[in-house]
Amino acid sequence: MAVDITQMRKGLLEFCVLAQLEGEPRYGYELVQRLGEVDGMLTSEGTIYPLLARLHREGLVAVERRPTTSAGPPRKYYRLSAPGHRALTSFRREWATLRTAIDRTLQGGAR
Amino acid sequence: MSAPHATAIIEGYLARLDLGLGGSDPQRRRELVEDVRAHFAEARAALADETDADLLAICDRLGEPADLAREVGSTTVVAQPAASAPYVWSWLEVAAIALTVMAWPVGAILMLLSRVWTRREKVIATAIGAVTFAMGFPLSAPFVGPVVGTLVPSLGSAAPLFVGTLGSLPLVAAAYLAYRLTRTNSPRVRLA
Repeated sequence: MAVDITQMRKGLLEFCVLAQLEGEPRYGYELVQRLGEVDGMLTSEGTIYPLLARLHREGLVAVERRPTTSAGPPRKYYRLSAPGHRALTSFRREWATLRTAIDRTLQGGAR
Repeated sequence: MSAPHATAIIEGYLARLDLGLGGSDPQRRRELVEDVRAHFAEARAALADETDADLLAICDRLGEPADLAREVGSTTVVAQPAASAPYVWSWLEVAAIALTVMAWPVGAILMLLSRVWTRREKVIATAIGAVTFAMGFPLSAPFVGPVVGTLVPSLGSAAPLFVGTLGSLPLVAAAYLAYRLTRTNSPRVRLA
């Protein structure tokens, strides 16, 4: 059962990442920190990188490199693309319906 | 100041990650290793005075390198389930195509034995070949098969066209198989 929860969390993480990019572009480590603040969201920080690469391949995010203020190499910023916006909007709608349905079902089972 | 074993800890982690990515697409492999390297740089920049324990804690939070490598693998499988068993065509497929024209039943058996073509492709090629074979081509082409033999006199001037069309069907089946073979060996083998 623990494995199933991990899979579920992984599937939802994708949309949480898209939501984090909605306002402004962010770099990988910044996303790790932001998502790390939410308890139970990132079980291991490294998983964010294969996920970002996949979102980029699927065209849901765009990548741009920007120089850092320090002397380090340029940072890789991720920006939400138009298909990414659509995917997020659609997920929000679905999630609202699903959450209500699941809450109702779970409460019904407890009675 | 760097921790005493900073290089060993970080490079060791990245090497294990790289090793775990052995079977993946080279570009993805490079990209993930670079992303994780950048992660180390960012995390270290946030430390006032790093120790080995700090770096080990960064590794711990990143997760097992093998698990990260598996994430790349799992996304590949999700993206392209058909790419599970890349198979390159061999003489079996060449013989199957050639014999589809020259000796259909033998060609068809070889084709069915091959793992390259999909079930759908095999059904289509078998159907084309079977129609021709039932009409008396191509094994008995020089003698004109029993069905064609009785049909030809009644067809009059349309007979050459009819026989020609029918006779070329094995070529169509072979060309279809060859075309699908080239399709099979390009996009499906490549990683997504």
